[in-house]
Amino acid sequence: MTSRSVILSLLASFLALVPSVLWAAAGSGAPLTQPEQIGWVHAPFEMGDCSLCHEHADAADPGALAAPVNDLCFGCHDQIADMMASLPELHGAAEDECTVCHNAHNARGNKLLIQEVPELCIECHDDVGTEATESAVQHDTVIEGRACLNCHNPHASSVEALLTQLPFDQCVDCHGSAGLLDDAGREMTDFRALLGAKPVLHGPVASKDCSACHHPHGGENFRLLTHEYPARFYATYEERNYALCFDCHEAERFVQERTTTLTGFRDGDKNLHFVHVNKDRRGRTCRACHDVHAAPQEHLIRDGVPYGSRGWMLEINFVPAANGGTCSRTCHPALSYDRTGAATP
Amino acid sequence: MTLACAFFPSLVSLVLAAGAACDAQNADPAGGLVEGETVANVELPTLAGDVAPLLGEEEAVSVFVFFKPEQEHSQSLLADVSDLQREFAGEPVHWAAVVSDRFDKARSADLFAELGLEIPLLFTSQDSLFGALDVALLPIVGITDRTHVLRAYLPYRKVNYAAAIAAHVRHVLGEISAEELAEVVSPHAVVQGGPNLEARRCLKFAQKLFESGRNEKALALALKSLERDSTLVEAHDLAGQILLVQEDFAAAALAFEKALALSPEDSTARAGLQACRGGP
Repeated sequence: MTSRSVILSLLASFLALVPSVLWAAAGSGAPLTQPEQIGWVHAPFEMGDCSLCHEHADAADPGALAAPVNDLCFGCHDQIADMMASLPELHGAAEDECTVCHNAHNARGNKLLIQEVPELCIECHDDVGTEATESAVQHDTVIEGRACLNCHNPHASSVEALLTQLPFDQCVDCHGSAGLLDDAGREMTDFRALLGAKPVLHGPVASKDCSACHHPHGGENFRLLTHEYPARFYATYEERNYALCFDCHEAERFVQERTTTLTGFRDGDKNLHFVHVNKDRRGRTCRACHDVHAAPQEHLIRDGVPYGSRGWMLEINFVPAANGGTCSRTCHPALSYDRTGAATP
Repeated sequence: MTLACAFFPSLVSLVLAAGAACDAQNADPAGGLVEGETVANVELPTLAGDVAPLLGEEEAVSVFVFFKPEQEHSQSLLADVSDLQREFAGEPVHWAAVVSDRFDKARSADLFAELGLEIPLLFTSQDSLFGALDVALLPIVGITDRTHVLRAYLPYRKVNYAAAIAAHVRHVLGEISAEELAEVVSPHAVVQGGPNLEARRCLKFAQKLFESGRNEKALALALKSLERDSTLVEAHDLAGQILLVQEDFAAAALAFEKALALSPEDSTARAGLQACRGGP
């Protein structure tokens, strides 16, 4: 090996190390030194009071920390300490050390964060980052403004996944007023108004669990739905077309032609769900009769359903009876069903 | 079919409370199981071939789980139930899980073994129990009290499901109040910050500086704290203590008087005021 190649090898090795050295400096909690990097300064550091946290008062050589990181931080930031002591859901990074996310001296980011949100969060939660930025359907609230902090508390919470509230309570912060438009300019549902007008709630809605059906970070389906769901009034019956509903509901009730146990929507033992839904081409999808969020009648039976390309509302006109019910002036003339009836062909 | 027809009505009438329609099989199942109604204690087949009751007879609380073995939500719930069973070990809680015998019994048994679940695994014949109770969703959890009145009927949810189940059990056990239950089932938003957060942070910093003898800076921060929140009694106390050390007795007395005006029982301020006036 020539001396020139040795020098080049050493130079290459040094250059390879530089980024990691810089990263190490940035992630080590040491003070930033470049003014353009500094957006926030921690008051004790700004005052030169190194001995509040370190062994010595000498800024040139403050020595080691005088106590564990979190003990030092909680000495002043007692609200965070109280939260983490009293709430059941804790952020592992915060439990570990505050300096996982914060620089105790100065930082570019708000609140002494070593990076801005969501980039900081994506350092660990890269799968969420991918979902948020590369999904076919994206959720603006995840990547804009306060981003992750729109929904999550980075320290502790009473709700799983460090949500600041149950999903519905969070979602209606945006989806609870009129005038919210999607990317195509269509107005989205005002859920406060909807639920105010319709008393029968779908289970997940009653449980305030929007995430039962919607991916909050991003997804591949319309309206961030977790699974496919037929977009039209009619669809071929295939179980995968109804994957969203069958996540909880029993698919069996749509494949058995005769039953007295799987459904109350039957005429004798003739399964009317099967009749309506299980067809090769023009199966009526769930939306034909049921509203997915809330409805005026039991079983989420809707008043009417948009039909055709001009948005005409096809009324359902369902009237329940003790052992069945009747739909009239709808897809078909009045037809009734009676669970007590004799088995019908 | 004939056997099912013969069995089914008796099963339904067993399950539903007295007062349910005789024709319960064909009654409007809009409600299915309804909180507040009594759930009769049916006996269902076990893997071993004998029968076991759905609900406990001695226990204060019974928890039953309806599930499907290959369903992700069911598996998640059963994992939670495994943890909950340990959490409530030694307490009077009866657990049972019910699955349709449409599914491979061995698979359900294997699932229980994988999860370390040691609760009765019961089978319903061809969904008859689920049909009688109009169980449209799986998984679902029911919680009854000592008299088998249904106190909670909880379909699956992705967030806080185990916490909600545990809270309902604790409520039925009498360990938590209705308000505490509500706080779990529908928690208030966790809010960080607040109107006097910065004031408190300045105060804490000032206290540390005072402890390390940096009185000038400590006083500046105590006063900054009071700029943010003039009602912070501890900040008035701290300002008074610092001024006392600096022998500015007039200013110290003023600080302590302000503290006492806000909190007449403030012993720190009383002692400080006494010290300002030359007392012991």
